[in-house]
Amino acid sequence: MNSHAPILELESVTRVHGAGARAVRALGPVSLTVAPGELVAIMGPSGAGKSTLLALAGALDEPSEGRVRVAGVDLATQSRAQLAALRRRAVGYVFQDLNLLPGLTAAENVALPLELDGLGLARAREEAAAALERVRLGTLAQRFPDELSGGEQQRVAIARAFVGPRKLLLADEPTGALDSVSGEMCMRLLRAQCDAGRSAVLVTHDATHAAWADRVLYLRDGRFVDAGPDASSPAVLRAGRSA
Amino acid sequence: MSVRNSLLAILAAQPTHGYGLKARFEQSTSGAWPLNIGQVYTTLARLERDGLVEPEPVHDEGPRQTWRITDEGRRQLGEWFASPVADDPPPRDELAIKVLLAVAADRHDVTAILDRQRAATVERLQDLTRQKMRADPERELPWLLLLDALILKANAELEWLALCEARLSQRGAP
Amino acid sequence: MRRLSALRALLRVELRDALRNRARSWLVVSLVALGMAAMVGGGALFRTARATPHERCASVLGEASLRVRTYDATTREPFERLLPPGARVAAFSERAALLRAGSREASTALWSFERGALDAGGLAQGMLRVLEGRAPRDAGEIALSRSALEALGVERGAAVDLDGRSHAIVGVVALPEQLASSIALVAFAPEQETRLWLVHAPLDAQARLADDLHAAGHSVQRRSELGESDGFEQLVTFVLGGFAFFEVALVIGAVFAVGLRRRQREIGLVGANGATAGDVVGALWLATLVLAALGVLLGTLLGAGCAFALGPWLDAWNGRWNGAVELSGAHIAGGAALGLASALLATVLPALAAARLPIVVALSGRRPVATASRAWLALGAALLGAGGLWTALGLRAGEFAAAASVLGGSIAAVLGLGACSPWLLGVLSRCASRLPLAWRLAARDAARFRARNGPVVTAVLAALSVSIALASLAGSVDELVAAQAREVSVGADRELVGIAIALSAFTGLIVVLIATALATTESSADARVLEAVGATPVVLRTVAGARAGYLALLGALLAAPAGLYPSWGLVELADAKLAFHTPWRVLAAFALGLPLLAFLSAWFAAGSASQRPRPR
Repeated sequence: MNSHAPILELESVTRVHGAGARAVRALGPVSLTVAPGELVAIMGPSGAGKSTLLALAGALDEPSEGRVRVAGVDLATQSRAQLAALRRRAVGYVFQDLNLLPGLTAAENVALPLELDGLGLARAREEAAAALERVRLGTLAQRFPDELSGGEQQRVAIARAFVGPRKLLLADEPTGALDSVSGEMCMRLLRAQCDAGRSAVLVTHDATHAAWADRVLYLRDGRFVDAGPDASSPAVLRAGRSA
Repeated sequence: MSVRNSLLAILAAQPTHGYGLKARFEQSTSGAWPLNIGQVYTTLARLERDGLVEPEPVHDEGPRQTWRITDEGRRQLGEWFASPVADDPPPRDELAIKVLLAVAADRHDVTAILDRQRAATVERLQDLTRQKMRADPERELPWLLLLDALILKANAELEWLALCEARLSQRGAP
Repeated sequence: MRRLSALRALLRVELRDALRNRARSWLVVSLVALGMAAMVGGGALFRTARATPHERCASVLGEASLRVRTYDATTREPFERLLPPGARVAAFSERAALLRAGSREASTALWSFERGALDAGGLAQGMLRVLEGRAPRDAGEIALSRSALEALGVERGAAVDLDGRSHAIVGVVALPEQLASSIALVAFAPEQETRLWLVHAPLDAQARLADDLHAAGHSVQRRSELGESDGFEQLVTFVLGGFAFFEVALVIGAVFAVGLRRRQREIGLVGANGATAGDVVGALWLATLVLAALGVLLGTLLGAGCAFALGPWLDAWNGRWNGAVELSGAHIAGGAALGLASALLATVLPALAAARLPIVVALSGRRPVATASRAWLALGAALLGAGGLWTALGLRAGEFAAAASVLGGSIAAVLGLGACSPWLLGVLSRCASRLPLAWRLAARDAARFRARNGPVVTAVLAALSVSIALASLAGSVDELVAAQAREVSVGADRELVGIAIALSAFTGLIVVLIATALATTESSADARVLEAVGATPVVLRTVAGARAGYLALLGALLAAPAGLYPSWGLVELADAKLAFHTPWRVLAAFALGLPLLAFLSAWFAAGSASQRPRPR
């Protein structure tokens, strides 16, 4: 796969909960393409379908219609085991809080997807240490989550989302429980990771954090809002990032 | 009003001539509000008339007039720093007026107005954030603080737009 | 390879969790350990105290294959002529005799054995044991049992008169199965005539020899006629042990259900990082296995320790020479297997439920929609029906099939009622709106956590139903004094029945309290809310008490039919001579006393334990 191929593609994706008269459309149809190295922020009022979109992108949920491709792989063609493998190797999640297993150290938390994938203990530890170094937490690797501040916990979660071969981070309000300085620190690190070639989709209600993204998309009633007549693609508020 | 007090604040640190005042003001506000030299001299003239500054006796070394603050000037400056900034009545805000009038006129495209405005504000926010990304937190602290202030102002505008949208959709709902 | 590595990583998570939640882990370990200890210790004591077939045979005919009582007393040579070549023979005698020491007398059974017969390898080995000193060798020597020594007021080293001659007491002896009997042992005179013989003949010659001797007018006891299968004792311990572990499995199941519910989000996170459901279940199982293995180990040590500690008192208790405490490999192996299996079984449903939960739901922390209770109701009804049918059909079949059908039907009834309990909890919570606050909360909470409370109610009702069945049977037996052997073996000893009833009621109480403690930790948030809106400590205590009392009440009420049912079945089985007895007092004690006890225990416990989760 060449390095410019999209890491994530959503093609006319719809998610409907329930059936018949009580069916509720939670999302869609929406389309979204995320290129390598791109940081995309999704904003919108609550209930607009932001989290649903993220769950679909990460193979945690299945679309009612449409196609989701991660790293070129069509999720609909994958077995449960293959989807689990995809979650180990390609996609990392960061949630608002409680991202870490309290029984594992920071390093072990970061190494978890690699170990689940069968990597040897030594190699997994090495990769985890490198990933923690990238979020400037090398010195806290042996701490347990409850010995870390909220901001540090989120940074560990970011490190885990990008550990080893993982190239796509999906974050649902990752800064929601943080004070503004810690939140900004997280965004800075996320931005740096994307500038290094990895990709992230960020759901947030905080515009100051969304502003770190290359693109900010606005979701309303399950659809992206068209920003205006001059927008080249739906809801692209500002394409490309300044070099 | 704020230019007046700003010049007093600079003069309180040390006596300065007109161009020096302009340079120092722009430096400490990171060039966010450019000042023209004419405005500096008009303001100085008014300050002198009110007895808040006075010209220093002319020395040999230069032709330019240097100004210094009077005791009354220091007193007024102290009052300015001590009193909180209150926007009362609120400053006229073009965006707010535009939206309020659109709602009053019951225009069908209020949501579109909000969307366009949001797109523009987000773009400004992204721009400010990029500048912040490049700023050096050690050497450019005032600049960084100013960016923070502008970012939060833009953010407040976005929050207000979101609230407008929510209230409009509530009005539409039964 | 991937699987192994994933298991290792997740096992680390599970074991750390077990270490972080020590109270819960110890609960699981000690539950398994207690079951194991009861099985190993009780089994060993039972086995030691009960005469094994070999011990029973040895008390009658030593190591010999025949015990012969000849028509006339003879010496050795004429008797030996009756035997085929290769047969070994030992003469012995037993007669009543009066011993004197000073002014005191004692009537004893006076035994004597040919020289060497009592020694190791001798034919009489095991008929009579020398406890102290030695066996008499010469005509002037004698050995007495303790009871004879006490009756005569003498000790070893003194002398007693027998048939007008003085004998020196050289040892203390006893009949192994009758320690209290008054006996004496003297040396066997070389040409003494006797009617009693022990014969060891080759196996193929035994039957023929016995027939010949019998035809000649001598009476013969054969070893093979005394022999009895050892299976019953094993069966009893395994059935009781199996039931104990069934209880253990129910409680552990409840513990795990709570633990996993609390860690639902963690399991969602693991899933989001690519663990498969198989990985998660595997790791949960392995971690449980580690805890259960620890419990098995501790339980074995505890059981063996108790057995050895109690061993010395055993002889005084049952009046026989029990010998060294005999640990049973079968009990240890069986107990270990049952302990591990019950822990694993207990984990299956909660683990599967946790691993199967969609990751999005698990992460959201929402409770999955509780549609399951209807399915459980159907299962419960099916179990009840199947159990009833089994018993009904089994009662017409042979004796063993009938007993099995009563046991099987009872277990089906307990499980069936248990399976219905989530549904029942749901129904009751809907009727609770007029109850006082504490009881309303208890009913609603019990229904909210019915997935966990189902096993709890089942465990309580299983424990209590045993008591009720025992009480009912004992009552029936009491009403009919001339009961048959089988029923006597079930309920003859009133004292034992009382202990059993108390024990199972205690088990029920413990189960309720464990469940309540878990419920209290899980609803600590509720307690904080209550506190915040101004609930007094008394109200908080009452809420905790009501939670315990409610579950105990429900378990006790369900236990009544579940306990009376097997009793009724056994009474039916007993050839219609027994009248069915309803143990009203026990039922009342359970329905009123146990809930009250549970209420009070929880009420007081709520004050001592902090409601807040403890910081790490």
